[in-house]
Amino acid sequence: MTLLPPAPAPTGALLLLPTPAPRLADHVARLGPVPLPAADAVLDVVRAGGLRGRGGAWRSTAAKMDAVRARAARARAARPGRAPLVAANAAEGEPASGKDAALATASPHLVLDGLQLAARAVGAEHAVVHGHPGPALDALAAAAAERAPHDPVPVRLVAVPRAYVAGQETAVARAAEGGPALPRPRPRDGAPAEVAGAPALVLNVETLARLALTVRGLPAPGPLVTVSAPDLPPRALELRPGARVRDALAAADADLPGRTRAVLVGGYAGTWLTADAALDRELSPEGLAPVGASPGAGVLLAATTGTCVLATTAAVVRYLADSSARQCGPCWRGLPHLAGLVEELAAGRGGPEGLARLREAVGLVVGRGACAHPDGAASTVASALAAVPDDVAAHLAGRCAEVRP
Amino acid sequence: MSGRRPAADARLTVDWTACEGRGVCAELLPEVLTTDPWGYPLPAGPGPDGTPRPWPRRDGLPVAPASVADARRAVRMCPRLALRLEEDARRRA
Repeated sequence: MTLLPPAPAPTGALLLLPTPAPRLADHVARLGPVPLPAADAVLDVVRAGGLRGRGGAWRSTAAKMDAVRARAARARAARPGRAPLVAANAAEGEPASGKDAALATASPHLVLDGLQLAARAVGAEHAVVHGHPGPALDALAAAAAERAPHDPVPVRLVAVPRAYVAGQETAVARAAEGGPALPRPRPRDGAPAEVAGAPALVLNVETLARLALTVRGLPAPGPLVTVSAPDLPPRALELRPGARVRDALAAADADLPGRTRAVLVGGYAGTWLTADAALDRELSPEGLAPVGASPGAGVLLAATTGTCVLATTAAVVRYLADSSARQCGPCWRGLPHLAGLVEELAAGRGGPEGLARLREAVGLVVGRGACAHPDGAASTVASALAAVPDDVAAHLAGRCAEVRP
Repeated sequence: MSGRRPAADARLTVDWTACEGRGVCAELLPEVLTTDPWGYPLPAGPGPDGTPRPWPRRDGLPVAPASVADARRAVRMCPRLALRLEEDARRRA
């Protein structure tokens, strides 16, 4: 994907996306050395700060750390010497996302500070940085080499091919073991991913950067987002705290809010909202929950005037179908089936019968896979049907009201 | 504290990476499972608006006490060992 250089935030200093990216000495001069308090003290700060996962799931970081610590204690009891692993997750397979690459490139030392803190919190003895080959991983690698003499926990790089599912937590664990970066079943849903019998704490790079700021007692930066539109390549932006969807779109392009019909919030596995429903919502889980959405990994994809939401959805679902790891039947068979039916609807074919089959196909994929990849596609389709009923009706009649030939 | 907890909490989970849609489970457990167009297990009974009932990923598919014996058999008979019946409430701790 193309990523433009980060635009300046509307207000204040950039905490997450400083330019130019600091070397270690500058980083320490600017923010001070990273404090490495005892494990419980790190956890207390994480808990008090209400830190949540920015890879898209917004899970409580403290809860994740607690789960890894509990599992690690059991693993150690079974076989002493088994220490948990921590991973900085820089894999960003989502085509409409670029904020992790922008962050890792601009603030690699902040990410690696966070990685050391996370290792401290769960008693990890080794750490990995997981990502796709490219400038972001290069920046993290250079930073890791620069600080290796000072870092208490050694950091190893795991480069994996760019793929949509390569950043899934169990895929990170599998790659750390030397396997393919593909999801695998967990002992049970919600349990920590495991590496060779020990639990793994996998945290998104933005989560780690925020952890490093929180422990330093610095104010929490506003949302880090990636905004794109049909005529606007994905652009990573750091916004002021409390920013709304409208502010994010306007920061990418001043005219964008005014010409946006609908927004796919949360990325390819996200939720379509009409502009009316979305624009004045705060970009947070709480702000978006009342309209049934979540910021996910901070991805906003605007469908502007003249863009068919259903055609965009068809392209998204086809991409997700092609991105299946082809490990779980309901996913690798169900998603192409679903994509075909959305394409029929978007092309004005299929009629009411096709729409009924489409609704059925959505239900067929929900919850049925080792990871939530199929659920993401289902969410995008179901929310499109709900957000633009007039467009659906027009397509059933064989025409698209928005795109005129 | 000893013995089986109330069977009302029994839940079925599937290892979707192992399942190949042989359909043995749906045959042995028709009151709980049916199959999708490709043969993979699906919750029996109609969902909202006649669409399939979504699979409860997080907690697994609840199995009524009367069906638990059949469910255990389905688990044993799965040719891919892809089916699991969770009967222990402590697993949630």
